[in-house]
Amino acid sequence: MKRIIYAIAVLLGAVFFIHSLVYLVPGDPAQMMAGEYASASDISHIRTELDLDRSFLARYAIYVSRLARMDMGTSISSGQPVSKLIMDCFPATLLLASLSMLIASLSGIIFGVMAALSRGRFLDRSILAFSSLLISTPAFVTCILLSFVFSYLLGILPPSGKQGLDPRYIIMPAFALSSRSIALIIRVTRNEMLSILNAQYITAVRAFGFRERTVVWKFAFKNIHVPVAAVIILDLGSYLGGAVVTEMVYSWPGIGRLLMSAIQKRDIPLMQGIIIFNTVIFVCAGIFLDFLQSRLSA
Amino acid sequence: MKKWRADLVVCICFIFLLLAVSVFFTVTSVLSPGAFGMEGLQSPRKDHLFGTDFLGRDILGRTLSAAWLSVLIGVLSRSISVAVGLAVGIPAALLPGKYERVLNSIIEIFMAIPALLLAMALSVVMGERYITIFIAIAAGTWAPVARFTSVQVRQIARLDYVIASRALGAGRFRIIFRHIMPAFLPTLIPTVTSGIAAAIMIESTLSFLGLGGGMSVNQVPTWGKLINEGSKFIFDAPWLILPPAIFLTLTVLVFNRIGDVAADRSIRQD
Repeated sequence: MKRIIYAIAVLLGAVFFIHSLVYLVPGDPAQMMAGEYASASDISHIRTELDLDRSFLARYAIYVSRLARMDMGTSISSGQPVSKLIMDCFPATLLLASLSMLIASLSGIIFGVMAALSRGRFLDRSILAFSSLLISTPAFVTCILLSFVFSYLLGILPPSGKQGLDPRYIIMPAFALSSRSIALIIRVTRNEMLSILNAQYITAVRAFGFRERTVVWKFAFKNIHVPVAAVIILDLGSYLGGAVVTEMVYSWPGIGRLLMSAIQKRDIPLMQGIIIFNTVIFVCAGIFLDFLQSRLSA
Repeated sequence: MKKWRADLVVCICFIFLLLAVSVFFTVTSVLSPGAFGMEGLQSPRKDHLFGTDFLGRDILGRTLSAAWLSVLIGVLSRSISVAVGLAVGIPAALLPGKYERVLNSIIEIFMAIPALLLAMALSVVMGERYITIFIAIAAGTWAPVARFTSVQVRQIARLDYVIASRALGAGRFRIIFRHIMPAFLPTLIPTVTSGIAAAIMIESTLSFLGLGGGMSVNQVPTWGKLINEGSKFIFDAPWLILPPAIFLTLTVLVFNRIGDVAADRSIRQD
């Protein structure tokens, strides 16, 4: 409970900062949003829309009180409520994020355990090298290379877009998005597994004559899932806020692409709304993680 | 002197070699990275090993001459973020209760805002200038440094030798700079080097999305910009994207590797 109150305080601070960021820009924000060729009436319309004629603190108070009612203001470029635009894009992002996290956790845990069990040998070293490569490859490079190989050279997957629930469209974005988390999960799983396998109770279990498979998955694995869950939950939290690069390269109609279009159109209310949405999800993931940790370690 | 690990030596040599070659190419314009050719988008051939871009410029030359700027942006913006992190983190560890809580909540707030999004928003509102990139990356990445600093410094400040020197009447600054910093700074090295890798990645991502500094034809490009240019022609001229992508990944890999080795070392010392 105390954790939740603290989280709300942190969120209010984050909203304050994000909100002020926009208006600390030199020049007139209304002018910037309206563009070079806007008429004076357009600009004054935007100004009243955003309460720019009030003082900064008053504006912040108004914004927060609206936020409490789930109202994030109106998008300048489309005239629709920001919260509606975000909610329209959320299902696509949710689908992409959960699928790629599923891929990442399954393959990350399996490879991580494999690496730990073959410590120092060729398999271990190649899995580790592979995971450093995945961590170091920027998301857009992964995306472009995947789409070059699978849709240009091999021609088996569509390059971009989303059509209903057609699974062919989600394969590449999901794998591209999962690549970094796979690498992180491999590392955490391997290191945890290695330190657990040296523990005395594992030696005891082995001495009882359980099969190696039972030792690893039943006894050792029980003690590594807290740190692994931490990686999974925090990464999922950041993906749920929209994976900008992946969604841009594959034209996936999610929140990341919405943010990019907001930026291109200089639609500040929308941009601000999406960043706040992101922060909220990330903080919630943190709370959930704390809750889980206290449960699992109790 | 401890033994230098072979991979560490290779990594550091790679960076210096890359920078040397890059500066050499930019200054002497061998392979003429800036020269316009007659035909654009030539596929790889003898005089242009990796082909040419849409203005007929040599891709390999452009990629190599982009190296120093990409690395410089990474190192500089990481330095800013570490400086800010130290400036907030040390007081957050050592000041008495009230200030400590305020500073820690500020750190907490910035930890909650996603780094890339913050950088994107900043580069929009601040306009396209080089300084924007530094500030945008630093603003997104200083908080973890500050958090790490405040946790570590608080632990060190509780050690006996620090308490002893305080009892002997050492001043606050003497304690920080003579007693705490020498114990703390080595533990910061892994964070710094892998942060450089992250900064290079954020910069290239911003450039890729078209949010980096100005993008005029004659400017020294960064790898992100080259990849952004190349991705427009990916199906007609796939060779454009390969050299900058490979160099970018290699450089990030090398900085991460240095961070890993340093982290290994500081764990072993404990």
